Amino acid sequence: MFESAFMIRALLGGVMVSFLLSLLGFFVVLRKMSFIGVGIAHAAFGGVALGQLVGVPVLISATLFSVATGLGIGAVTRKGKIKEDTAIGIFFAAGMALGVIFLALKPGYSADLVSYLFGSILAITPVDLWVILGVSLVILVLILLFFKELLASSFDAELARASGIPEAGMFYLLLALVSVGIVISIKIVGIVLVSALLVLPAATALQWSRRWFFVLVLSLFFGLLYTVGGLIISYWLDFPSGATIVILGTVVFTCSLLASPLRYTAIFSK
Amino acid sequence: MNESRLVSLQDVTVRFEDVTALHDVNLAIKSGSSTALIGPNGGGKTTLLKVIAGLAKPSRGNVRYYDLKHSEIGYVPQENAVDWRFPVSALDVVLMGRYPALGLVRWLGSEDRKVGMAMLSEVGLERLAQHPVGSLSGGQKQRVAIARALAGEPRLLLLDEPTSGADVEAKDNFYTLISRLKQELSLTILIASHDLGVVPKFVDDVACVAGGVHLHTCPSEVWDEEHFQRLYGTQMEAVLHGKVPHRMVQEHHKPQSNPRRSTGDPESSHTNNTVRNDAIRLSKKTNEKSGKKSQKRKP
Repeated sequence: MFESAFMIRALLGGVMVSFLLSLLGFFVVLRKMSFIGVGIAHAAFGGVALGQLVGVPVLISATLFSVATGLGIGAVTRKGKIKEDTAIGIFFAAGMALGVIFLALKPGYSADLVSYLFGSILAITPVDLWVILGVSLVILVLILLFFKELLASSFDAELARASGIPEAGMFYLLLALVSVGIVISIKIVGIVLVSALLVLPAATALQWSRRWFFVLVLSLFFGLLYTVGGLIISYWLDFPSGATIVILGTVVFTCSLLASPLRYTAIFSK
Repeated sequence: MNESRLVSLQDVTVRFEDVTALHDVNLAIKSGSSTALIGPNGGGKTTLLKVIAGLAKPSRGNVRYYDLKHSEIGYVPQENAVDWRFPVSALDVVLMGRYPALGLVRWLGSEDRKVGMAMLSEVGLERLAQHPVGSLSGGQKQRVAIARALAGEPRLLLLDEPTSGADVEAKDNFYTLISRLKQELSLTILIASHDLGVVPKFVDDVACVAGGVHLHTCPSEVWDEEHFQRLYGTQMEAVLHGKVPHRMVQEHHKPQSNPRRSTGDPESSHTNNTVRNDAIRLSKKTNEKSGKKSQKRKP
């Protein structure tokens, strides 16, 4: 398995992507923004199609599209007094619709669009790996710099604001980072499934601990387990990689939920 | 006069869509003072605190801070809209109160942890420091919230209905704690409360908040029962009665303009019954320095 260069690239990419998405997912799940990942990822489809239509690198067009969508959902929710799920529902569909229109405008068949939708480890190039590494490092540094502000505003936004933490800034920063993180991950897991990698690790970790530090460490562990385990299983069984990663994660999450030592404690049932 | 002020509000009006929560409020908070905000539900007490905390913007008028930084205001909301399954311990929550003073980018040091633990022991919760905050009782969460506000080393502490839902003894303990903290940490305190039984004990000023604000100083006079009833008339019921919808049936009257007496007046005797039902009774003794517990009565 490790003789094939594409598999090594997939594993390296998978490790970095899972680390990044688990870290972002820690805040996303704690802030109850899980559905935002779905919206942003699907909006990225519009960006991918636009990039293919006008001949711009897909990474750039998809990043612009996703960040705009993420910040747009945030701004509409906060300023427009519209509920988050409504905003996500609208942006999600609009991004996909634009993608379909761009696709129709482009002559010929777009084969690799399918690989963006469902992920394809065969498609990962060495350049992709460097991009993933660079972007992951930037996101990691930003999260470490603002970790305590992100944590406090995730716990209680109003109190954070009252005590002078730039809570709105942290909200938009997180949305922007999640958008970028999703875009660089879609080649591996695909648009349709990338949001699962954002949610599953933290959701699983929360079944095992009520201390943020352990939840964070466990999130990273589960993220790594799902991605690397999923890729290896998909190689053996010749299954699509993204789907295998998500199914493995769902199985481990379900087992954790059933075995959770916190499930029967008073605070969990509140 | 201005030197001793911390905050002043000038003609502050706050509107939420078509509801006016506060109307032309003028209020000055003096350094070292303690002020109780009393008034019916929906009277604007919470909005007033939020305006001072910088959480609500006045539609009109302005708020002035005199040499008071935002991080020196400690705000304890009535109820946190928080998911208590959030994986933080009581100490973690208290330490969040240190974040603004630390500034961006810097991480907590051992000094911050010391302050956090000291504030937890101030509120009597040092034993529960490592417990998940969600596993604490309502009253304990409230004290964690106060310790969090104190951890930011505030000069002004804003408390919104801090004893709602607590029994009489818990209320008494709570206000004893607040009085002690006020002395020890030289705090200025603004406290929104339904809890008239508590007000005479330790505040310097009483502000009645019902859309507008009417300030009374010298509570020993104000809280004389007769005086009080002349001042508030049916508002006394409005303020004290916890079981029926609170109402504000009359405009605020000056003492001279509403000479209702406590004897022979059906409205007043009803008020007294109400008081008894609520297990809190205001009487002249309340304000005698020796009669410290006379306002408490078991139901």
